Amino acid sequence: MSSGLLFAVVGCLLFVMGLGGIILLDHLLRRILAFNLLGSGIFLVLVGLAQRSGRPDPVPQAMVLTGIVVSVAATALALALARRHQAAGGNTGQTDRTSPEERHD
Amino acid sequence: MNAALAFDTLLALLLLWSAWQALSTPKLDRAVIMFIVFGLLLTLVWSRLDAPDIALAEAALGAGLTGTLLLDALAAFGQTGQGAGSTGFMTTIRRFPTILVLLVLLAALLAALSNLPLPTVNLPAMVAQQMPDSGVSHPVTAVLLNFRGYDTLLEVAVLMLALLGILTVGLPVERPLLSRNLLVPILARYAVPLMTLAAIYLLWAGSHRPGGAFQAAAVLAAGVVLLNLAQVQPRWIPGQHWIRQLISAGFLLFLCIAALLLMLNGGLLHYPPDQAGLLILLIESGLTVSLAINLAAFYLLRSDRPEPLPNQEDTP
Repeated sequence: MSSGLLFAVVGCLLFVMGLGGIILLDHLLRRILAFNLLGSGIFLVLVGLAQRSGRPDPVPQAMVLTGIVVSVAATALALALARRHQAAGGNTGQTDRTSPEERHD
Repeated sequence: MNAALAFDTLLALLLLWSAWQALSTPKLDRAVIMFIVFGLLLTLVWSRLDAPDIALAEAALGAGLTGTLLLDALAAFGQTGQGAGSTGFMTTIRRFPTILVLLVLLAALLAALSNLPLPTVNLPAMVAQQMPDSGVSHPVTAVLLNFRGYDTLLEVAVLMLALLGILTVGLPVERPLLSRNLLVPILARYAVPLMTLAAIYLLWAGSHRPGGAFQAAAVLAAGVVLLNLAQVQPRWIPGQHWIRQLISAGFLLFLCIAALLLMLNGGLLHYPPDQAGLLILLIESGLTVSLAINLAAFYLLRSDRPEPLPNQEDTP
């Protein structure tokens, strides 16, 4: 097993872990963390699969480099939205369990 | 070879453990710290995958700047987050179908990985073949700014859009600093000149070895954030127009060169091979300044109004 394929498998696990986090976790900050884990998983799959023969491939590397910068921008925007949500009186998820009647999902 | 695989396996396990901790640890501040640890481990993974460009960007942006943004937001949210571990029995029952679907998805993904088709195109060979005409000698820079230059053009636009979105949503107000660490100004005094030098080196090195505009911009942005933490550089407010002008200047320079080439050569970002190196360096220099200020603005830009108005939407 080449290290490319190994990290592609790790990328899949991170993707599923991040997706689960976005669906199952309540706190907005946790969901932003999960979103970042999901993105990192995709990056690992992209580069790991392309390099499973062991040779570096500049094309997915350049795309992932672009992706990292974009994910930082997305995280910054998500944090701004979460802060605004909290400033506008919304809860960030921590009080969900005290009001079960609001949760029908 | 076996030692390398053993190291990779250990790294993979540590990576997954830190990711799991970031999602499941009960305390929110601990989760953010574990996420930063995850970013640093991921930096190691990228260097194991022969991707030093991504490793540089991940260390500076993925772990560094994202971590700073998260820690900053953490102070606003307070210590109220709970982990997935503290859920009740009924919640577990309700979540069971979701977890089942996720496990099926994971199995499908791993099954897809276990019998992969052979690649039909050999991208590294195609890149190597075109390298003499690209104007640079580092393949990743050639892909970023020449072969797929429009990706980078759009990416800079996405960054500006994100900042525009943050400005529209509303900036957080500046809170007074509760504690002052005396070591930070000393660190900043030694580190920031070196970081500036490193950024210029990274920009220059991008044409022939790992480095480039993104990494240089990330290091510069980190330097500005460090200066702010050392209370040398005050927060930025939206009224400071030079911030917007500098951020858009790099993008507009890129756009002008793209438009000019479109008119002269009939192709978007089709550089003439003789001038390609010079044009790429010009674009990268502009991008470094723009991206650095844009990234730093994610952290430094604060509302100049004293308090946010919670019910602003209700009053016309």
